[in-house]
Amino acid sequence: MTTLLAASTTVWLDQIVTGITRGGWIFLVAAGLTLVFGVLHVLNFAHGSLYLVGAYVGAALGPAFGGSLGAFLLILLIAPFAAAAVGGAIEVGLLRPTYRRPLLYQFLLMFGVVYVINGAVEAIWGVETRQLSAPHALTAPVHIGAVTIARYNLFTLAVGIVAAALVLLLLHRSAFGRDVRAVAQDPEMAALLGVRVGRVRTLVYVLGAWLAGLAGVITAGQSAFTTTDGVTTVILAFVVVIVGGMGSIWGAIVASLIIGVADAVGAIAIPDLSVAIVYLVMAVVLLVRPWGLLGRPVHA
Amino acid sequence: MSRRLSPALVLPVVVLVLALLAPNALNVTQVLLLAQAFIYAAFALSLFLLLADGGIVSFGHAAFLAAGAYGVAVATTKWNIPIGLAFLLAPVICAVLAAIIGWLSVRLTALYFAMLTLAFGQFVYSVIARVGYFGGESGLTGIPSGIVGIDPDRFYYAGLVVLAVVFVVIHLVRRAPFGLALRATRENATRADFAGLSVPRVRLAAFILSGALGGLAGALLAVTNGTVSPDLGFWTQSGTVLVMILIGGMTSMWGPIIGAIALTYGQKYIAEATPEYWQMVLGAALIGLVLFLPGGVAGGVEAAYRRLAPKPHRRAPTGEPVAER
Amino acid sequence: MLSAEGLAKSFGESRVVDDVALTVQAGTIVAVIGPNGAGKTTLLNLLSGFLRADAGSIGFDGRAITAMPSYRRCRAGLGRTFQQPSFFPALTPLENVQVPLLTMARKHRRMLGRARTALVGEAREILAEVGLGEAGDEPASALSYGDQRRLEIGIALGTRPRVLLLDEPMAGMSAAERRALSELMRDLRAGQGLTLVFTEHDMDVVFSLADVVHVLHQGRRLASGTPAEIRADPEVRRVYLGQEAA
Repeated sequence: MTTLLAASTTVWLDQIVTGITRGGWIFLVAAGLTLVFGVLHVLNFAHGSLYLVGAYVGAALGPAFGGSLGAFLLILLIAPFAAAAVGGAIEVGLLRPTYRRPLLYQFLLMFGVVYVINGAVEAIWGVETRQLSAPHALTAPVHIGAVTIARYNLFTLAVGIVAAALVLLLLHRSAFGRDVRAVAQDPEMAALLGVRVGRVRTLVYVLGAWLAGLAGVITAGQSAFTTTDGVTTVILAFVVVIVGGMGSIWGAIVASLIIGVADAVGAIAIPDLSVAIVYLVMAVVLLVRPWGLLGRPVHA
Repeated sequence: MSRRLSPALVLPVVVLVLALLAPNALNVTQVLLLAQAFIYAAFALSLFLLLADGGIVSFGHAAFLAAGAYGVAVATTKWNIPIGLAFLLAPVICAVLAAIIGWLSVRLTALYFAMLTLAFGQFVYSVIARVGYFGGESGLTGIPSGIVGIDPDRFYYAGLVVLAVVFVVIHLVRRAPFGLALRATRENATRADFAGLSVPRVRLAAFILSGALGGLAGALLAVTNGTVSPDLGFWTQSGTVLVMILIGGMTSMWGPIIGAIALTYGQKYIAEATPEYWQMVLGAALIGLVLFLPGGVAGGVEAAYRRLAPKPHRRAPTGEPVAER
Repeated sequence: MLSAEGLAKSFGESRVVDDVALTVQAGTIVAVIGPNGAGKTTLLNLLSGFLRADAGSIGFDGRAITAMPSYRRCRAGLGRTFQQPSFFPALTPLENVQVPLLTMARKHRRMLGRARTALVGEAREILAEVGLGEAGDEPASALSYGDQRRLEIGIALGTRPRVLLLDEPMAGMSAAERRALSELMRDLRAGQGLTLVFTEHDMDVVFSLADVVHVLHQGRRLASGTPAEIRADPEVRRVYLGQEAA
């Protein structure tokens, strides 16, 4: 605590800005999960594994595509489709036959998927850490006034903002989005009105998987990763989804920013407990307002 | 206790006798494997009461395994408490932890309760993984082994004793009026309420008992391994114990035991047979179980038994068939 | 025995129960009738504690129970049944009735001892009283609908109630079953001095069974009186015109 108090304003500012950019990354991680939960009402514990698929495929494509900025952006766009494909297989093959089953069985099913995907990526690419090299254009630091930010973090924030905007546009300005919101609110009514609920669910899961894959690829460009990152990241996503509200994109945005800043500030103020505090926040939200900041009460 | 030898006692006694004699017939690897399996079986049984009789799904049960283990570790290495006392202290610490978590959680509906247990589980994990006092990522070492020593046979018998204790305690509780009250809250919480039961209080009591027994398993884990690491509290550990219960089935108390032994053996032998693909095999098996055999091994056996012997069967006093959840 | 003053409950914009007051005398059979949406079930939910009232007070046997949680009201002697029979499906009929008996005997916290042999005598008595004396070891989910309703009443009796609230107890039953259930209700009143309050749509049952009838309409109490008085009441006839052959 004394370090924080003694620190100058620059350090504070630095941390807050870092926190905001980190919030962008966290949003990318959580967006897919909140969508899936809001529409399918499934606790998608396999979300972290879909994230991994994006990361591993992205890292694999890196050497093949070369190191230019254009190639990098291309990989960012392509790799998530691998995750989307896996997601589609999961939804159609595993979730559809079981979506009326109790909570416990859905969890165990997704747990099995985690094992399968972990095993698959390790079998294909080995157990050592992997990484995707980002082009120099994205790695030089940037100075805004007195604050220094890693350019890649800004890039991630930008991607996060673009992704948020696109998803919100999709949800609120397209016919598909209208169907999605209908299914999220009342699947039976939506079916009666002619919405093809099964197809909507599959597409939403695929979209969620794509977003997870995107988050994975972006992370791959920043740091080395292993399969462990899958199981740790999914929990972070859950925290965001709970705090922000299950199914609410705006909620995920708000929660990501809060958690990003809290984590960054906490990292220098109370480094030992910063992560623990995040879980406490999740617990408090569940006790006080279980449907999250911007969510709606869920009838499971 | 009835003076007539109840036929239902036969199976546990036979199994116990076989288990007591087993180390003489098995090699060291097998004995060590079983010793570990017994600890996880005890851990799985502690969750079984909550899950099968209470209908309560917890994604954070590993918090108690970790709390029990770390309780012993901290007590012996930092507070210099003798190992025997520390061992008994662990379930008490876990009971207190469970009381706090449970008191906060039991009024929530199933989904939010599960998420809350996940949050608390990860909270415990992040504390033991990051706070220096608990040894950080590498955990704590140098836990004395007391009478358990370093002899594999002693590991085995210690595990068997703890498993037997947990088994007996849970059996007695399930068979007692409290067990019936707990099952009532599972069957129909509203009607339980309108039968005069305070449903949150019943669930809290079950949660505390479950946590304390889980802590006992954790304590033994610390003693047999001599070290503790934060992984013990990670959410995947909570998932693993749920997998054990799934494998074994929820229809009888033998389920978690069978599941723990099956998974312990399964993980080892599959990993040996195919070092590259063992995770995929395990994952696929798990998916297969959920899709095609949700009653687990014990459930499958029960279903087969009923098909072969269609007359109404006498229920075992360990508890009537549990409704599938 | 049971009284309510100024009870109100709203769901969002709609006032489902609006300033309802009523009194129930001990040992009577009271019917609460009204068109769909009149607030009958909500009233029972408020009286039993299933829902918290927005306003008003409830008195039971001389005590104010407005703030009492539902499980305590049950222990105090206020039992209820639901529109869909609410019982413990996987437990046997005997176990179903043992649960409230154990709770009332304060034995439900015991973690030692055998539930199987606890209070079996009393449980069997209650089962016999509701006509389930022959019930076997099968789970209660295997019982017929009518028997499940009886079982539910049995569970309610297990808390030794002085007042029993029944929400549409005759729903889904054949004419013969209705007669049998009416008999049971009269027997309970006669044998144990139970006070019964029930909601119902079937006017034949209401007029043959009830001592007092309260009519609810749009959340308010429209009229109260003996069945004959209610049948003749012009307001009641207006509300029911076209809905029921009285």
